Amino acid sequence: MEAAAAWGVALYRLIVRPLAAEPVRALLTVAAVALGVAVIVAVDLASEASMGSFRSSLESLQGAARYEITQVGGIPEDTYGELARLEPPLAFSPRIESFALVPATGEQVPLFGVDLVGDARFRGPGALRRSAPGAPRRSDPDALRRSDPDVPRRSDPDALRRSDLQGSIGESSVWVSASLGLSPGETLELVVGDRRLKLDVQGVLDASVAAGRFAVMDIAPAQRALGRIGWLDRIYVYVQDDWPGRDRGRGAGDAQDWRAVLAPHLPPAASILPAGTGTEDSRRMLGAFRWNLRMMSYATILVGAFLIYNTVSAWIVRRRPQIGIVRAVGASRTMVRAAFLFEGLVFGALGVAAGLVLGRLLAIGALDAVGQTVSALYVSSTPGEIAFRPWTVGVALVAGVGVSVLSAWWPAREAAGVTPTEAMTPASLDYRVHAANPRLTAVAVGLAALAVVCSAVPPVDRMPVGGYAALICLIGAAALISPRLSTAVLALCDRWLATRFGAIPRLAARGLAASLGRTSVMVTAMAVATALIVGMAVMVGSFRETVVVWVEHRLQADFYVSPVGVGGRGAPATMHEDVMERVESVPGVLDVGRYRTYPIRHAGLPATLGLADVALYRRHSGIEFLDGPAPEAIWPQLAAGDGVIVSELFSDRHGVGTGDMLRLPLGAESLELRVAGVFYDYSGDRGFVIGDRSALLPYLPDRRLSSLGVYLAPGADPERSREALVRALASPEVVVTPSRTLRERSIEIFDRTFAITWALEAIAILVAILGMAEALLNLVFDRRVELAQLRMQGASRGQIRALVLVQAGLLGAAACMLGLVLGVAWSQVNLLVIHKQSFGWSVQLDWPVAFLAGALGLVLAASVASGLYPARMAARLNPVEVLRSE
Amino acid sequence: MWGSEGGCKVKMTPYRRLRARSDAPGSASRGRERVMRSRLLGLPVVFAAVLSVVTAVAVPGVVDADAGPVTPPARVVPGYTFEFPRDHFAHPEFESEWWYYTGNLFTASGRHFGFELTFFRRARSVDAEPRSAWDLDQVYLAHFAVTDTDGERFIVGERLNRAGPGIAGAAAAVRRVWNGHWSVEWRPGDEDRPVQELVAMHRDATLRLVLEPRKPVVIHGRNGISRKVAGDPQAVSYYLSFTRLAATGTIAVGDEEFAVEGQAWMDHEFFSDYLAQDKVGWDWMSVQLDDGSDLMLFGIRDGQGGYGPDRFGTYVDAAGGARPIDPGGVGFRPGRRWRSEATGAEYPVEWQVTVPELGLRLDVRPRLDAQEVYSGDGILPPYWEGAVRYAGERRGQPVTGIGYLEMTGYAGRLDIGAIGEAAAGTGSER
Repeated sequence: MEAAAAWGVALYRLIVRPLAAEPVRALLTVAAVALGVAVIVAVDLASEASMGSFRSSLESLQGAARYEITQVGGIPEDTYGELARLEPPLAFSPRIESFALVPATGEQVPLFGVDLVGDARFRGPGALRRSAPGAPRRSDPDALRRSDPDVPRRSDPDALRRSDLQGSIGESSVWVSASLGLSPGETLELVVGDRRLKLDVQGVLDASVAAGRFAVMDIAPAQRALGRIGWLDRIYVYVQDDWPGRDRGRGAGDAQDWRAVLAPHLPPAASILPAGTGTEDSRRMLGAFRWNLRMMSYATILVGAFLIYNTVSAWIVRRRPQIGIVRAVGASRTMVRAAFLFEGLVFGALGVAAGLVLGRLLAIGALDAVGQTVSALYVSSTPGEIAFRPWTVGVALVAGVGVSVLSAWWPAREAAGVTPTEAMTPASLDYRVHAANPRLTAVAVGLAALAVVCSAVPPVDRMPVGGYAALICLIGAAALISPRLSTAVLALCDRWLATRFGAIPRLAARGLAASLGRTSVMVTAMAVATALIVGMAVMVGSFRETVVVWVEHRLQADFYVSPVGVGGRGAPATMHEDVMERVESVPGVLDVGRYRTYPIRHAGLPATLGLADVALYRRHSGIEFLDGPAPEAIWPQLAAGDGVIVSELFSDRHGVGTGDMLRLPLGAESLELRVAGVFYDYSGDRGFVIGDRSALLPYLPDRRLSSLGVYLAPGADPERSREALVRALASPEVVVTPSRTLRERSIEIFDRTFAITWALEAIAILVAILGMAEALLNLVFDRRVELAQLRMQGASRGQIRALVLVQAGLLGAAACMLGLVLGVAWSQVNLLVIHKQSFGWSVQLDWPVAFLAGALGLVLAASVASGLYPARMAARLNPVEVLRSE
Repeated sequence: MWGSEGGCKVKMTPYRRLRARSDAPGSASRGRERVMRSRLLGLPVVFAAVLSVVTAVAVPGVVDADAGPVTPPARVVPGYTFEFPRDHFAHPEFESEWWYYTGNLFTASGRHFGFELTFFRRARSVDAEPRSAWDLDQVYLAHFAVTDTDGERFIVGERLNRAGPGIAGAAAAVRRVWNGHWSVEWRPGDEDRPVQELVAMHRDATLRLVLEPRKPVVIHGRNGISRKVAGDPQAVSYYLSFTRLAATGTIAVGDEEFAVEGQAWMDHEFFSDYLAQDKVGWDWMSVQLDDGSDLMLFGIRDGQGGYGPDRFGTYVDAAGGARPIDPGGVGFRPGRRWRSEATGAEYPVEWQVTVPELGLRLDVRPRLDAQEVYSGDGILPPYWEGAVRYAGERRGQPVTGIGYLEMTGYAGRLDIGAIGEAAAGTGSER
């Protein structure tokens, strides 16, 4: 009973009453936690939504396929005839696939050619039948999930009415997913590569049958429409696990068996991979990106942690008398400690609650940004639903509550250590952090050293774990060194300000120095936030500059000719080769370079193979090599057909360098080619292999082109040449893009890619500013006697306000300095370790001086701004009352 | 000795590569108002239905869309020079063609199984350019049915495919008739009596047989053509049979596999002609008598269910010599009827047939009443095709035999809706 009463007293006097007395500060703390949590939640939700839907849209119709067979450049269709005769439980399904642009909406949808006759999954009930208008859609939900494309199962007889079945397979017949919002009888216009198709919608595929947005044609018209006569893009292999007899009961463990069965019937260079490998690849690639994003979101909560630490500390210092009273009336140390931990818990819980709500709202914007980055860097995907998962809530709880309680842990311990007598004496109001503690400095130096060590750790599954460990070490070092650094800065200010600006600044500096233990925590928090900005600015700035230079260099041609239809990385858009002749016929055109890309896989990783007219690269440069043989030595190897060049990324990922041999699948053959050189490339997350078109085309018989580079003769008028080109091409499905436009577009994509990271930084700064405001409020409160005395001695309200604002400015300046140092170190870790490990790009260091100056100025201004409210509070103090109450 | 009657020349040639596709196999659109005819009247109708419903209402769509000149399909004319093995395989210039294997199989202990494996080919006109191997100009349907007499099960499977890049076909070049993994391989060697290896499988039944002809191929009819309707010179087909094939192999039903031996029959028929709508169906029998002789008998029914003069047949003696039975020289008398629960159709599953010129009278009894073939997907209108036994007398001597009975046109003509309702799944047990 007594204990309970003591608990009650402790909680009431130490927590409830003070909080009630100063709700603004309580709110600031909760808001800071909420913001930190919100960022984590938003990033998690957005990155999950951008992935959740992400099943390469090309796989919409694969059903329960076990394997997929592909071949660079396509599979000769006769292969399918041979496979089709293999006995069950194997079954097969052929695909022609491409991306199509819906000109009406600008949307990009996959267009499939499938066997609508032989594949019972499409023939069967509910699959491609026409949905009766008005009538509820009934369908066989298993239709596309069946593993057996041959034999339709027993099904709902009503669903099988012949009259419900599809329209007809004609040259322009198309079936669409329900999500495209078309009905039978309507026309669907699509642009595929350089072709425009007008298709008649024959039927609608129920959403329950296959999710996603896509259009389906029969394979014969699809081959014609997509210029793929004689070829298939993919063959899905089904293993009917319910097939009776000797094969029954073979589980998933027999993967290798079936591949061995299939291999003799395939061209040697065809690849048999578990179905969905493309999706898995993309997932893995996106994994690193998402991981980095998450790490950045955690930095915000880190800034929040400093804030909570500071708040609870300040509380404790100011409630010493109360602690004394509580202890005197019988509360134990444990109770005091528990009370303060409870406070941290409450801040955390409230912060999490608010953060979840705010995070859900922020996620909408974040999803947009993340989605754009994903599309720009990796694969096109349609974002899915934003949905809370237990994981999201768990992380938010751990981050919000955990960090709050942890941050309160040390101050609470300190509070528990206060004896009643100690508490009653008006002793030092500062904490027991001693700026000059040499041990802390030593630890800081140790941490910095550890950071260097960590940054040398290789990535784990392409996640730069060492890099992030290094960052954490750096932050720790910064936090520990911060009081010392702040002291030095303030001492400097003291001297410098005193000699120039008189009493107020000097008083301000002294005041800060006196409460350094507390203010230095805020300086650290602010510095971390600033460092985030600085680090990102240096990294992104350098990266951007590198990309700008690279794009400038790479896009040597004056114009690029490409099909309107956009391709995905699994199915690049192509145009007919005769475009070449038409372009060459234009006066003023000096050279025309052909280019074609093919998606390939090398050693388990997706990459891109480009075939180019290498002679033109040689003449017009455009490719810059890493250290290695001179370009003059490289090009002839390509032209001879026994060499290729690889991008830096490819070289890094696969550990192949100049002179190494590379086995590449080209069409039906697998060729051994020498790596003649390694070139810089920043175009995406896939490695590049480039070979000479004329030398390697015999292996890849499809002559269609991805793009043409058009080089004008010196003196040719660009604008007139462009018009002449457009006239000569005479096709709205082929576009001529000046290289300037391409450059601008590249940079635009680049900037969009980093939009979300800037948003994260901005929020971190916001959190830091909240903390700053709170710290200053505390300062004002703690120094109120001093301030009252100043007023009594004749200082005006304005002078008091100025005093607080100067203090805010000083804190900001200290934070900027520390942040700059930390940020530069951070950027180096980012550039040299994290970025390199995650993305494999070498970035040339470039200092975005103007941006940095602006950003630091902004931080400083924000710090001063954060002092506005405390300054007003200070100015409003009634000195008489203050002095009387003390 | 190949042909049975005068005028029909048979020539052996080394195997010759057939054109994979005819340039214009002919318009199928006429099939909408006219019913194709043949010995297997209902099946071509059915097959046209498959094409028009499943793969293509496109028949009008494609053909009518561009009314360019369409080369008419090849015609069945008297005096055709058969060449083997070429003529065992596809004739893409004709609109319809099928290879029809049926047989009675026995385990060592005498357990009986019946089987039917049929490959249908249907040509369509496609005028899109450039041509794709996947064009729907040659479409193949296959049926596989097993009668498990003792288990009282009748198992049906179906495959529909376009010829595509080797998915289905009947090519002399590879000596194979196939639809996916259902196939008949013709072994090289004795072109007079080519050994045929047959493989077909379904979830509930798998059949692997080696068929050795005991008699050479028979060319039915006179002058190389088989007439279907008296007085209609267009109602004709080229019709070949191996009337007696020794079968050995295995049959698996459910989880059990049996070694079996028995006797099979093979029909191969191709044509492009049509029959007016007043003919609703036919009844056909293959008869393998224990005296070594075989008979092929059929009658075409008109709208009233009667036969008129359209009753034909071929008699093959024990040595393999064949001659047509005089038109109208076969008597059919239907007996007990069996009603299909699934489709509501009533089939006369018992018959008495007479061939006066041979002094032959046979009672026909089914191994199982329920041998109605219809697919779960409803691609084909139902027909009855099943193993039967024969018992009777020939010129006063008792005679018995085995064979197959086929009855079409009893389930209504192309009642597509009814098929849908009736459909209950491929390979269902009955």
